[in-house]
Amino acid sequence: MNNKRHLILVVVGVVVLLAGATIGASVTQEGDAADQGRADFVEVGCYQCHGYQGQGGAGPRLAPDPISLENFMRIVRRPPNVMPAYSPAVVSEQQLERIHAYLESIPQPPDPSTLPILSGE
Amino acid sequence: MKTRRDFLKGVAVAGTVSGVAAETEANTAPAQVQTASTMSALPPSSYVEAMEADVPEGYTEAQAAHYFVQNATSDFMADVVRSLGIDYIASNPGSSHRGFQESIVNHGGNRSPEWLTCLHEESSVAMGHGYAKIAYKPMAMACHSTVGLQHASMAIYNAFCDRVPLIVFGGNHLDAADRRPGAEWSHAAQDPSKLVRDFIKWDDTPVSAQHFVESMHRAYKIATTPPMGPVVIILDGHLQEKELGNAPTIPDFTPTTPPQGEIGALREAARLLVDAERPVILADKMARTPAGMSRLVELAEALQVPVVDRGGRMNFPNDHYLAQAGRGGQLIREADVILGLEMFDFWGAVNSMRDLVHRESTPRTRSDVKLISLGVNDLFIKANYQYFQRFLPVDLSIGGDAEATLPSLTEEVRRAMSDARRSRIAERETGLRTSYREMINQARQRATYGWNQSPVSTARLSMEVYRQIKDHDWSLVSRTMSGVPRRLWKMNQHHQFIGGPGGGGVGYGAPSSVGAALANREHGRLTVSFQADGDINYAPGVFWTAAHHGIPLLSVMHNNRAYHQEVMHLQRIATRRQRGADGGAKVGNTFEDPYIDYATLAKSYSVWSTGPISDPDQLEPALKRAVDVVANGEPALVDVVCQPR
Repeated sequence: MNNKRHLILVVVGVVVLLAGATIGASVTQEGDAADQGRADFVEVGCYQCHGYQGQGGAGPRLAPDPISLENFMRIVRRPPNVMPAYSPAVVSEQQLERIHAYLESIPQPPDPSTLPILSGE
Repeated sequence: MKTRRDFLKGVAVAGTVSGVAAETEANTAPAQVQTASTMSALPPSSYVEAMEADVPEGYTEAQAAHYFVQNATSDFMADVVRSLGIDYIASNPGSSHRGFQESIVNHGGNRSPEWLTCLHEESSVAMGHGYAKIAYKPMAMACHSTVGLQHASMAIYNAFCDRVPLIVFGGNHLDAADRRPGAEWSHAAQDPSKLVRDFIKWDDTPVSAQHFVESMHRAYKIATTPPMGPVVIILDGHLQEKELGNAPTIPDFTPTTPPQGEIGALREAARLLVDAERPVILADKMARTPAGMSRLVELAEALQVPVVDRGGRMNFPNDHYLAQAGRGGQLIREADVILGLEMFDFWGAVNSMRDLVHRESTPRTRSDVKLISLGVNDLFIKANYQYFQRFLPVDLSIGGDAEATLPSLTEEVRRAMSDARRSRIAERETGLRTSYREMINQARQRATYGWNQSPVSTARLSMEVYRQIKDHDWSLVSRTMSGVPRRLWKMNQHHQFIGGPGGGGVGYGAPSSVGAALANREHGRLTVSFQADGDINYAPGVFWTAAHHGIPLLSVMHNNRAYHQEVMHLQRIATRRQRGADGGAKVGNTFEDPYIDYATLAKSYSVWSTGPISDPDQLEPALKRAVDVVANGEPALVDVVCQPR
């Protein structure tokens, strides 16, 4: 009996350890993707119109709460307005995924009501 | 013509040396007050004695007889300039206007006008550009003949496009027989104004004192009558330096009244506006003075019509619920009648065109929209430079100065309005107030994105500056940082915003800010400029002019380390050609490796400075200190490393 319980405990422990490692790896991978995505965002020149944090500028705001990856890729390839089109020769699908991950990582801004100078007080 | 010997004899006979009219055979000029600076009957030096005795070696008799000039023509020129109320002449030195300069300084006492030392003619002209938009009158600038006018030309073009009056003096040496070898030849031209004639309103080359006074009055009238603009008067060097002879009378100045729209057209415009369900007013270079703002408020309230201030001037108070520039796109799309007031680019406001190899335009408006244009564009256009933008067919084109015409238009609107229609129009107010509040809340939300980031967001920088200046009588004299100040600063005074360069010539910002600050100085206002880094590098010496002449100005650098517009242009072309988007766009367009230290640059001109600042939390103490410096009457610069836009 003791051997059977011991075996169960070991199996459960291994499962827990594996799950933790997988989650950690996933978090690390996401973090790497966002970090690399920021580098891509700058290298490819997105920051020029959208700002370094995607806050907008000459172009519209991209983050936080970016549009879906699917729509993001569609618009980058065939933008509807004044934005120039970025073909795969200029920015790859992988880069776009990383850039999107970066935009998703950008935190929410402060609430305007917490910033007295925004209301001119 | 009297010689000095004759003059001395006359002084001896008269006895006293002050208040004596020196009458001569040929000179019947009115009595001149003899001051130490103008009289020449001082004890002669040995050099003068030699000149007045026998003809010295190396001189002809004529040269010796006319060596000293008692009553220079340029003294009279200075008197004319003063009589027109010109308070300043900005100039980079030039021998071709040396006679005029000396007269301003010594004959005129360097006061009204005061001679301002500039380190580039582009700076002196652009100072005049900024000055006129605050002072509501022109100042003058003196440019050294050919090379000085060449330097000044871009700034003159900007003022022409922006409809700002300038009085530009250019020196010249017209008589070839009179030119000394060297510079007086390479700095002379048959027709110096030809260089800039395509972008000035008028020019002349007076050849006598009488000619000068008539041309100056005409030039001043032309410059200051809408559409306003620069004029050039060429001052021949020989004319400046010769004896005046009979002094002409300086008449009183009579301005020309601005042209106004024809009454029949105004009645038609009033009918269209009153009958419209979704009218919109677009205002660009309309409000030349505070009266323009109040008149537009009156018209807008009478019609309950939203106003889209395009930013060519301070046209409408942004704390008024009808100030709805933030909804401009939607308003234009939905409008059934659009009234454009002094529109620089009416076509561009109601049409769009994508920047592609194959270009087509798309209207932004409804197909049934009625367009009314009121302005002076059609009254004065020059052909060569294409500043006038694309031709727009309109339904009603009213030629007249909008500011001057608005009272008549408002009267016709009220006359055209029945009681029933007035009630219906009044119902719009509630919805417009709601739209205004939503627009402001959206602008506040938008400003929070990137708030705590480095490089500093333009929104964060704008609001940190506003925190320091809002309790002063402030004046923003530059282009704004992505429009944040015009959305979120409370702007309801005409001097709080003056528009941009007009012709898009970069290099306007710094000197025009100094000129505007000069005009603001007498009102005790705090002048603020968001200074683009690309702009300041053209002629940073204007900071020295500000320091030397005690012109208080707060310059806050928008240091994005690039000619950012051009970076985006290169990016567009690179992506279109599917190459080089990963950095190629920055070649030739950025200030990196090394970075430029603007704080040290300013210090070298004795301007208080601090920076560069990349951390937004460091802005408050730095800006507070800088505002204190400016409030005490000195210029200051804060270098801030910013987001691109």
